[in-house]
Amino acid sequence: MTVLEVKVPGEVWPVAISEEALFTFPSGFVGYPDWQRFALIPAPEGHPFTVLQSLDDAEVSFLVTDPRILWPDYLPAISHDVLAHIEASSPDVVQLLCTLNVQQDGSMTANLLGPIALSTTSRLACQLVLYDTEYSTQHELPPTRRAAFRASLAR
Amino acid sequence: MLVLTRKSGQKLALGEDIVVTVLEVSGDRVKLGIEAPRSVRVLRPEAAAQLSEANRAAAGAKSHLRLLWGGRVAEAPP
Repeated sequence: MTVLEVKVPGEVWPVAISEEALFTFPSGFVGYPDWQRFALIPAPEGHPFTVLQSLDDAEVSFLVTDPRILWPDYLPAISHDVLAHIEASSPDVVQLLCTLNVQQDGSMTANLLGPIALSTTSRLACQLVLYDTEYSTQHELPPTRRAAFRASLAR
Repeated sequence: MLVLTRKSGQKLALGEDIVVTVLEVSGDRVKLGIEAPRSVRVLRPEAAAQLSEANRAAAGAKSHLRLLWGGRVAEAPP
């Protein structure tokens, strides 16, 4: 266990996280190549999210979730190039996440066009870009799950 | 902008280690093959713009730590 100081604007939070929760994105995110070092911090019990918090910029953080909880059929192909880039020996050691966006009215959308692939062995990660897909950067949550996700944030 | 004409099957080298091949031309569609180092991300500009905007909106909206842990500021989450 290591204790990181996560700076929120105007505040500093000591957050205990294990080394296994630290990930490096060697190429950053699409449009933001400098967003490279992150910690995956589980939300308090009962929340269906995880927070992907930048270790370099306190104001950069994502709400993420496992897209297969919401869309069991969502199976983006992970190419050999991606596996090599994040030094993953096989797709079995890759954890897939998608970022969530909270809209003005409290509803949520998921970015399924650019999911995140993390290697649990090398702890390297990257943002995938899907080609020839119907998925968008603002995919509506399934109607059956919308209320639960929304209520989780309003608590 | 540099403008070149290439035929199907012909290639174009960009710098030392990127090669673009015109694989097929059919009507107004061109099929391209791209050989580039793994560190080079090849994107359609429209997808790159969408993703860049989505990333900015998702990351910068608010502090998600504060949002989830509410007012319990100095307390470390479990």
